[in-house]
Amino acid sequence: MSGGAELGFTEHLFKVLVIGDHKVGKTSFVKRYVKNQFYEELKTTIGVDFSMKVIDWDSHTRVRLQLWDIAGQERLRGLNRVFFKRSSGALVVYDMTNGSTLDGALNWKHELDSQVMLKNGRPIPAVLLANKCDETKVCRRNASLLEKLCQEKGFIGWFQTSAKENINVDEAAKFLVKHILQNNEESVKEEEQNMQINLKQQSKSNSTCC
Amino acid sequence: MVDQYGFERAEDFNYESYEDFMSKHLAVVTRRSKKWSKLLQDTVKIEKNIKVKRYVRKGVPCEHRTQIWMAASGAQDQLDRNPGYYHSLLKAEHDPKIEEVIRADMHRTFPDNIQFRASSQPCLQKALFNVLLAYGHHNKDVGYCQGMNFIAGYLLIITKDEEKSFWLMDALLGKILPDYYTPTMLGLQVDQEVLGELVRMKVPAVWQVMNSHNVMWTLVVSRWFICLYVDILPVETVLRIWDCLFYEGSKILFRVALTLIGHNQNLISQAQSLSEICERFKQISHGEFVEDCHTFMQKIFMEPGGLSTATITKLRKMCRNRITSA
Repeated sequence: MSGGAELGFTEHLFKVLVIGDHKVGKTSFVKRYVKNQFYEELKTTIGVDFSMKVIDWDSHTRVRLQLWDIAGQERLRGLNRVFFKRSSGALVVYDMTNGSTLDGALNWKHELDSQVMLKNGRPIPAVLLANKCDETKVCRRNASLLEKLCQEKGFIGWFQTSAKENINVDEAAKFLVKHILQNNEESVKEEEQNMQINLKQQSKSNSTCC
Repeated sequence: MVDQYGFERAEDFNYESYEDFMSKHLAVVTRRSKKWSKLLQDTVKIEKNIKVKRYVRKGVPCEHRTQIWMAASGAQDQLDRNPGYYHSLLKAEHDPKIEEVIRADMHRTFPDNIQFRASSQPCLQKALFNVLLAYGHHNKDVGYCQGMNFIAGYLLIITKDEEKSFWLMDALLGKILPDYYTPTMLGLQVDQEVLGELVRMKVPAVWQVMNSHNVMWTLVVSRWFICLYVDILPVETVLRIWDCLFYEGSKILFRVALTLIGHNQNLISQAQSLSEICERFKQISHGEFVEDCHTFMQKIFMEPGGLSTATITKLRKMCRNRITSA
């Protein structure tokens, strides 16, 4: 999903899912990231909430992130599964103070991979967020467990975050965007290569003709 | 500043236009109130007839709301027939899973309402928890679905009574609404599609823009149906819609949606992208058009034109078939 280039300036529009069990802090994370605000008490998200974040990535790249904050309750999840389509990346959130939400996050990741993938068949980039880290600390054992989980389950990385204290919110998002941009570049290159191969094959077949 | 229901007013609340509206509105409310008092004096039982229907559409005064909702929906009959049932549900053993998911939403129901603050006396959070817990065990097919917290919350604000709120909840979920809150949420999926069909017939410009940008109806209207407009439209407007919902049934939800969409069709159909469409659907549930509840309620019966029960029944059947055979 990338826009046209004008004088070497490129604008991209990427759809990013924010998923995870209910009450892990998805909406808080999005509000911190987009508005740099934290609300002590937010309402339950019903359905999907949209927000847009514009990032001037470098002097010739602008990225528009369309964030889809999806309701966490299981029942609403079924309804919202259709929204996974055409997303470029995902933030999968769990609540560090509630261990079962990590299992939940892994289920979400599994579901994500079964619904959407890159053109080359690889999973779309997803970052695991260990949220509410202001309320507890990641010990070394936890960290190596998360590291292992990331490799096993195909996350591109994990961050401990706090929407409340504004810890690693920008960093995690930036990390995801970097991967999305890389994927985007690679797929453009692959397409170009494919085109070249096609051209070569064409010229080959042309030459045998002559 | 809080309103009469305990909701805090937003920072950008426009007091000037509100006072303007209220000065006219209060005259209407007073007139309606007198008429209702007279009607209730003369009648023992609220009947379904043209006169009462007209009265309901013009708004039930706050002091009679509980009584009218209870009578019109059949909730009162249920309560009379099942004395002590609600309390027995609370006393029985509870499924810890249901308890946990309900508890998770307690702080997240109306943080903007002072009656739901943990510090307030009495605090409606406990009552909200009880009503949802009892309902989840009464109707095990439904259990608890997010969105029900907002509905039970409004019922408590109006009735100030757990047991009555419970039976009104039962009337809504068990009788008035299709299966919106069951695990498959099939009734909700159906009604979203039904709305889509109605928009296709009545507001084709909007249907076209939704179609050309591939926007599914559930994306923009699921909250409208799940929350019965709570937290979407202004409080007073929602209560007026609920007056008709309890008295006339779920068709009113389509009238509201069609009015919002039809009235703003230019705004919506000029949207250039999916996110603009979503943005505009959010925008149309705010502003003077929806604040002036009396005029808005007149509009919902005029602007969308005819909408027969037969049409809704037919469309619901068609959409249900389409979804289940997909």
